[in-house]
Amino acid sequence: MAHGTAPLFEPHPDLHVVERAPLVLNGRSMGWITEHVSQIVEQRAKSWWWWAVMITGFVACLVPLALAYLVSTGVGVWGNNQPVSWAWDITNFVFWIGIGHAGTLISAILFLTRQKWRTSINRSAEAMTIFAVICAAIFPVFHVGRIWFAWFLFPIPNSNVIWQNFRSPLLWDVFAVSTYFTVSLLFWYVGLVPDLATIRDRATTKLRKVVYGALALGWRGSNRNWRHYEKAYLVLAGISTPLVLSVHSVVSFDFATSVIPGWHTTIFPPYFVAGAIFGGFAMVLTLLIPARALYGLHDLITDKHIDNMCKIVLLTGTIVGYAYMMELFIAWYSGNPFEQWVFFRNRIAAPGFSDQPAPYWWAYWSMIGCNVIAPQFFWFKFCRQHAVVVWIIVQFPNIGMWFERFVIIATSLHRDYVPSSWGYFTPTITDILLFVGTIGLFVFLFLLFVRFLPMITIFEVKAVLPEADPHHDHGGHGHAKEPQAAQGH
Amino acid sequence: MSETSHKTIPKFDPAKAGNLPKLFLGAGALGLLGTLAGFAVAPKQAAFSYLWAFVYAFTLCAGSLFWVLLHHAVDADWTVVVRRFLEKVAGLFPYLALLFLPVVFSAPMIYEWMTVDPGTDVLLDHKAVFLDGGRNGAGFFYYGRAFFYFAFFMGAATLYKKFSVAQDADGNPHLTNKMRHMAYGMIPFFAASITFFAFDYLMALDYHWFSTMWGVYIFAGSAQSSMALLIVISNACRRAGYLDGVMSVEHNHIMGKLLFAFTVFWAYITFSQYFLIYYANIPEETWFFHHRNTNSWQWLSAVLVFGHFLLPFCLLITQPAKRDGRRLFWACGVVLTMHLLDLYWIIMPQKQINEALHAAGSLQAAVAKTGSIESLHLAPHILDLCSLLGVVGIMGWLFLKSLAQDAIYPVRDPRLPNSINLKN
Repeated sequence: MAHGTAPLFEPHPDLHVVERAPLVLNGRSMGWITEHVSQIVEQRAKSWWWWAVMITGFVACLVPLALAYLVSTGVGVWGNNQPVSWAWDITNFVFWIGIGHAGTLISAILFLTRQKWRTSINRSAEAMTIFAVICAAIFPVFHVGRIWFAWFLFPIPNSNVIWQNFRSPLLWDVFAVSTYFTVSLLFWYVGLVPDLATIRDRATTKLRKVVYGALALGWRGSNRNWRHYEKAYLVLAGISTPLVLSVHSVVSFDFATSVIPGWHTTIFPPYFVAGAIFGGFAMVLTLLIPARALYGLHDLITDKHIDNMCKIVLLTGTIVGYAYMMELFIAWYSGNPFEQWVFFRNRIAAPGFSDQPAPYWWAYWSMIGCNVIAPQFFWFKFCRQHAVVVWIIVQFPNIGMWFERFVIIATSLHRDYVPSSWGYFTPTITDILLFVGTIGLFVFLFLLFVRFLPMITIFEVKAVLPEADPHHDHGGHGHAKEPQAAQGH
Repeated sequence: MSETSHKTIPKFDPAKAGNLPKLFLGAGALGLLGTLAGFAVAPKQAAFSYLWAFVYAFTLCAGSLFWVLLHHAVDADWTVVVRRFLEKVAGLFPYLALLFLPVVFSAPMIYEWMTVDPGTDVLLDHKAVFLDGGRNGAGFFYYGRAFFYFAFFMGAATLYKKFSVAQDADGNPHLTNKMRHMAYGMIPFFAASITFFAFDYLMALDYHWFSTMWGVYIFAGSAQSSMALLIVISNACRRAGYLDGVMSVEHNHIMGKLLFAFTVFWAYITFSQYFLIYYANIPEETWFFHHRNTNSWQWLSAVLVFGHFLLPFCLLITQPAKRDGRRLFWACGVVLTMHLLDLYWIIMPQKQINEALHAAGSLQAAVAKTGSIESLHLAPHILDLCSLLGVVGIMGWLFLKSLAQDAIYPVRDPRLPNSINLKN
């Protein structure tokens, strides 16, 4: 560490204006944090939780029902047609995969960049990642049609001498998503171990002791345990970081490697990644704001956390807007009539502005309104500081990011090079029920998570307390160390 | 303000820098004179060479402004001790605007579309509203955009320098908040300016070609190389004793991490752009790479893959490498050189392509024999060196002059103690 020898100056009287908000409010102690987070798992579930889990569980049942109908009847029960041969299936897949990006971003990238504010939100965001990837995986697996042949996706020697087409981005997707899921799961679980041990040590029933004891993998909190833990967590963060970027880049390759107008555009990889983080953070806010209110976690998930996430939503929403603008501009600049057709005749042309309105104009403008315009409200502090307003605003990206994928897929496909083959996609009831089912499944799994696992990383939040800092003045009131104007101390 | 009057403000002393300012000035003057002579003897070559040198300086200044904006937008601590260098590099934009004038005057020799008559090329006619600087129109929009880019870059860089230096005098923390709020609003303007500058002066070299990634690609190279420049400058000042007790190995570590991250980011963006065009294999897009994979240009393409990505990636991947100033310095040298070669690879083949197209009459005729333009060859010219020395020399000299005017780091920034005591 450098020891300051720079000139000393008197502190400015207004130095408080650059003070940072503490990450844990009201000077909460380490004991309070353990108690408050653990009791969510230990106490009897409240009635709202039972109602919520029953309703979402019921909705989640739509997934096996719709899939059973699909497998027994065939993929024709979906509304996919020619030319819209990909429709809600791939829209939903990309939507859910995108949702799954914020968790690992918060956990890995914010960890590597030493952003301490991640500690209160990373656990639940990572859980969300796992659940979102589960929802996502349903669609490509079942859209193969004969699900019992899905294993052909893997390079396993078989009697038909079928070899996988490694030149296909769809196959890369299989490896990218499965790797991402595996690493995200490991990362999440490794981070859970010390807190599982805390729950084990506090357990009052034998069943709890056994279950949480087994899950805690014999964690004793020894120096050796912590040393190994820190190493493993850092390595997993290092592995996860390129995965966050690569998964959605590979998903974007599904489209961009083709020659379909509206799909083949070079900005797709970073644009998809930015969009995924955008949608992921919107979903984190959607779930954490109610969870914070219901479990009284305002001292741990503070307004500062919400404010930071709103700023990320604003930034990534604006990046997505930049990508939309680039696509439009280059479609025009290229002089390519097919690209121009897709953007200006299949997407933008709205009734009243064009004598031939695009069949999906409403989808395009819903996307623009939700993804580009709605996040701009976060320029205003008022909108970032009122949880209800934040929650309302982030519903727009949730909707808009689904529309983005639908716009990309349906508007490019429904009117292709040959006008005689033009068509229109209308979802069937199976499409709708399956998608609604995955929303139910996602929330259902999240509800189980908050009930049975500590939703906030207890030991990491303790580490950002002022008293965890070896240089902290323990006579203080538990607030974050104030910025010091004098140098060379 | 009176508090600071009796204290020693750490300033860069050009007298202690030996012959470096004179060396920069001499090289700059000689280089610019050589380029001027080049415009008389081989105007086309001089125009291309000068554009290359100019864009190199432009990307370093724009990248530095990006880091200043990012520092304020995320309210970072660690950057404070090295931020003044970024402010000073970005603060060179007014001079860069002057150095841009030769590009404006020589543009018709560089940009083929400026000499194409309306009605000759349907693709050009289509975008004549945007590329209106030649026979297709008066150029108000084309040059008006350039005015806007430079107005933004100059305005932003000057404001940040002004407020930062003002804070040295009284330590007013309100300025920290003011600069932070300004950064939020400036980031979209920065993105638009660098993107459309990249379109107008690099992508428009071949007015048929297009890529939605182009703005991000140029930005990635700017951010990466300006971080390398920051590491070089800050370590040079540290070695000279200006940052004793202020800058530590921790700062090298964090800058090394960012350089590493942006090395990967550049590779990611560059690969994505190349790969998607390669995979789709649409001729109107593949020509860009096809030309650059012809004859000796393909060796430069290979050098970029290894030198711009793999070499700095390997040099920076370990923690000790990021903390060791010497190893970091080598990695920065590689990055700065490769960024120069990357721009060379973007700009220079176009001169030969233009000449070949003129000679053959059309692209089809030019590639009829072998499928490629046979005359394409990596052919460095003495004017390349002159232009580079001219622009870099003058900018280096102006930077040293500017550095000596104010404190070498923001001495009263309220986050300075946190920056000094940085721990990774």
